[in-house]
Amino acid sequence: MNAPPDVQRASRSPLRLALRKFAQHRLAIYGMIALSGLYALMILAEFAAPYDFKTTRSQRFHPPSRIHWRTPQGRWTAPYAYAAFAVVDGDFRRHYVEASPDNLAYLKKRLGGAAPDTSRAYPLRLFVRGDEYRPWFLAAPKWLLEKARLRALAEHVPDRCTLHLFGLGGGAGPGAPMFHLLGADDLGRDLFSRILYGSRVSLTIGFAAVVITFSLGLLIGGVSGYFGGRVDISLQRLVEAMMLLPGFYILLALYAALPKDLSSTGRYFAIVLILACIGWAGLARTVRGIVLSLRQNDYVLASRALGVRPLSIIVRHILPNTFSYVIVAVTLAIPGYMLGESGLSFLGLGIAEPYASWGNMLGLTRDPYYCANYPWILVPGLFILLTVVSFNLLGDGLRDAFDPKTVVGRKT
Amino acid sequence: MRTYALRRLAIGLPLVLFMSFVVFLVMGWSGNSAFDALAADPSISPQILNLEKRNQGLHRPLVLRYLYWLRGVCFDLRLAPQRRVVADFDMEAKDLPQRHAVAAQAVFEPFEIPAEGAIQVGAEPVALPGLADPAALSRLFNAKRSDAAFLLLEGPAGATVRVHLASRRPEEEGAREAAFEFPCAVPEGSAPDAPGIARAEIFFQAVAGKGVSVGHLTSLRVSSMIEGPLRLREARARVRSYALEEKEGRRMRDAHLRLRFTGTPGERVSLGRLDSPYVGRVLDASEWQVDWEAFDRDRAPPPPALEGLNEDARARERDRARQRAGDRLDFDALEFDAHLDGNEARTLRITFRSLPEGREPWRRDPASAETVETPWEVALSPGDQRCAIPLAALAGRGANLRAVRGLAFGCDRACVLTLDDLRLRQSGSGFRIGRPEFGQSVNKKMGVWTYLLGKMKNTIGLNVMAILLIWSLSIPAGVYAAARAYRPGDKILTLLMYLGQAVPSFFLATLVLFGISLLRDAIPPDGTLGFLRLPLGGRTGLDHDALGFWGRLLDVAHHGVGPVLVMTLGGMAGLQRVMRATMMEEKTKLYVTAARARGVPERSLFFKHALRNAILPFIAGLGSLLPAMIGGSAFIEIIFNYPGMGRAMLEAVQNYDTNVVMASMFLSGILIVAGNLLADLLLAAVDPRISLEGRGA
Repeated sequence: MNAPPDVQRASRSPLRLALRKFAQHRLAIYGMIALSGLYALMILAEFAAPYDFKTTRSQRFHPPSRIHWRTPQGRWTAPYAYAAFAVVDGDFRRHYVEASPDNLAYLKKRLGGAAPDTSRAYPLRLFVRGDEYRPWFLAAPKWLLEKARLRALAEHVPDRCTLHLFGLGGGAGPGAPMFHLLGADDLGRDLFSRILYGSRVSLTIGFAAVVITFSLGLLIGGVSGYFGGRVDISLQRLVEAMMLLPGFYILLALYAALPKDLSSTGRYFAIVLILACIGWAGLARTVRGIVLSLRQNDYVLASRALGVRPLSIIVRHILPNTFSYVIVAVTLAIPGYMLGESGLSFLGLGIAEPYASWGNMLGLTRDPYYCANYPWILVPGLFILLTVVSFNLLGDGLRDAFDPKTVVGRKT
Repeated sequence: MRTYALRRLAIGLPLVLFMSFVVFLVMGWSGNSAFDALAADPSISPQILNLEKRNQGLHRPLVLRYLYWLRGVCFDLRLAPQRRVVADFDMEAKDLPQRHAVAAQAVFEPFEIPAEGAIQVGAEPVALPGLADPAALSRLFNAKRSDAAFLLLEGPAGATVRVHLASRRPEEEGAREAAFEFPCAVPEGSAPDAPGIARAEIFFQAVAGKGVSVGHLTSLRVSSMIEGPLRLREARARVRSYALEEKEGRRMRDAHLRLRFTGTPGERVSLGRLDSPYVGRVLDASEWQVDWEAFDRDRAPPPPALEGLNEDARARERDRARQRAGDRLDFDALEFDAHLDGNEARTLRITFRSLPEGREPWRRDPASAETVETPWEVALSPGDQRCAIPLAALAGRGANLRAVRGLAFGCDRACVLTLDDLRLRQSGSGFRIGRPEFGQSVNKKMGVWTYLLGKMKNTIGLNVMAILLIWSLSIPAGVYAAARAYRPGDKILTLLMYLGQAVPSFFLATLVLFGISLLRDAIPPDGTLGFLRLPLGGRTGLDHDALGFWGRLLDVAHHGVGPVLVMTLGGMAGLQRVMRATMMEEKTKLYVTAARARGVPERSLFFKHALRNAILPFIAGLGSLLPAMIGGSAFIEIIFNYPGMGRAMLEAVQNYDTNVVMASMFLSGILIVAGNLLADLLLAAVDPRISLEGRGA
């Protein structure tokens, strides 16, 4: 006859069990969805962003463009927007007034020759032709197609593209106003586009730093936990030492050592290196704890008896079993690195202008006058918050999923 | 417990030192130094800069510099006479053909300009004909050969002519511009309606100081507030060639002051004090730059004038006053190395020119008639020797050594003398303990310890307040959340704390600052709610000194609300969750069930028994709070403009002020080690399960 049911249930692999537990953790699913959305936007940044991160056709601190859904007569119609012009009032405050038909006379009165002659309504469309860009995200598929000898298909993949996810249609050429979904910053650059381009730095720097931290932490933690004794003690002193020291101050001091005219890519990698050098200690400690407990297992004893070399045991047997914990630790460490880079860029020490990074853009908010009058410059902070919360939720979900103490079907 | 503490310190302190060594190496190796920024300042001559670099020890190799720093930090031990170099007569430019002394000459090379007519100049900058294209500009502003460019312009009389320079480096996005103003005056003795002459002297150092790159100039334009015709008469470049003295004699490795006396009675070569950079004249010995400030020491220093100054300036004034009162090294001799050519002995007559007693030395009068001259004679033998002039004897003869204005050298008979390395010497050795010698901050021009002490007090004050608040808020919040677990109150609190942990501290600080500005706009200044009008950053208000003791305290507290609020919000989240988690865990333990069976009331069960046990990991978490906060409060200090150690560190890093960076890293490292130790000791004292003898904590 068939095997009894409990045997079948017991043969479900731990991975599938973990996946099932994870799938039931609703918040973690939300986190994952949010992160996937952010990373998808990051990859498709050139396409999703209506403008480049440097384009400055607008004036300073242009507010988010108003989208009109009704015609002046009051009927529902496809969304459209007007150009907006800055008018300085008696208090030397800057107001943006759109060039709708009602405002034309006012604009003419205030701006004289600079006012537009007619009020032009630019329709807001999806998939519009806009500024040219090089689609970076198509480079990989193109290369793959070429490798697969599908030359004809590969040639169809364009090198330059002008299609954007959304933007102002209606024959908007270079003279058209910019459509600001989230307003503009102090140089007139579209904030939404900069957020998307900035996500490339902010979202990847955590991973880059974590790769280094990962390797270093696994190696040192594994060696320390496996060998024990004097090696363990000395390595642990080192790890404690690293955790003891003021991270922020060391970050700053190491930053001062960089050459002054470092290129932007150079800065990126320097930040990654410095962050990783400061942060590997925590992971090493976690790994050591796990290795200490795994060391007692029988398969380790068996491998030792068979004469397998210690390094081989560590790498091939023990470390793969630490992965579940390590994945969780890494997922929870990435937001830390992200915040570190944002902090540095916020202070002006990280990614430099004109390149965008979320911390960079938040540097503008240091002036409370700007915050008060142009509150949309705070939006990158919300994105940082969203990313960190999503990573935390994901990490919590993974931890609960891999933790053998939690039971499928019951919410803690 | 004592041995445990000592053991921890024995590990922790060398660790901090090791880290400081690594950081020092990394910073020094990079080659960025605070003097780079000062070098672009045209009012600081390169010779004084070099002297200051040498006095700071930058000429030593890196590891040796670290050891000197370490010696100063641990104990101020002086084994040899201290010397402060006052003039080393070294030439600064490395590409000098031969580093012989002294009589240097700047040569002006005329620049061929096509003879074009006048242009009409007005408020809008217009390009000068003949100097319109970058090629011509790069020939005139050739930084490799010259260090200044001179334009002789004929323009509207009485106008101020402004020269606009624009440059664009290939790797930069936009152009950089700078403007220099020159008066256009009618020369004396010419007709009243003659055109004015403007001598535009453009020093490349000043140009570089304004951010414009001399090697990449794109345009030179001229404007003037008074409209009129402008004509370029001459253009010259000051070429850095130095006409040397006769090259007889030995080739020296470094430059010296070479004095050639012809034996004319009364002949003197003077070294005087100069206050402004000079143009186009021949450099001679009389205009050599000597660090006269080393001589300046007020006898009875006036009390420091602290009115109207901010924190930094006040600390600087107090530091200066203390130094003036005799804290610094007291020099006892003026030394120099001399080499006398020939075979006969000579007598060198040195005349000290100083201000009479009672005159303020900081009044910058060049060569005023009112100086006291004190002669001194030094016997010189042929060859090399080191001469020393005891300052006490000089003072006995009437020289006011605290206000020396110049030195003059004379000799009765003809001779050729070479002097080097004018130094002030303090003999003897010394040992001073108590105040660590962290060195001088190049940017702040004061002692690092004095500078950082005030900042450290501020940071610690903020952190301690924040920790107290965190403690007093998160315990009740955690207990409340555990008491009403899974009910709406708990859920809201959990959500808030989760967000609070995820939000970056600088963003939160910005939001709070934003909120404060909204609050200030909403609340009228003179009203009952005036105290809610929190200040927008800083530590003290403008009229801080005028308030009484309680007023000052209240003022500081008022300014501290913002930063402490942010630190509390940020730090509370994690601890509240820990508290809640441990309380929930304690609730399920057996002793609680047993006590409940015994009839202990529910309330007491929760708030007395469970809480006492739950608080232990909480204390462990709290203990690590102080170290984390010292690092984390840096952002908040920067955003709220609070004068603390984090902000001082940031400024020092941005200006490459090595001494301040090292000192703040060292101090914060020590604070963190001490904080961790305190936390562990506290935990051991509270939890009877932990024993420090083993590897417990």
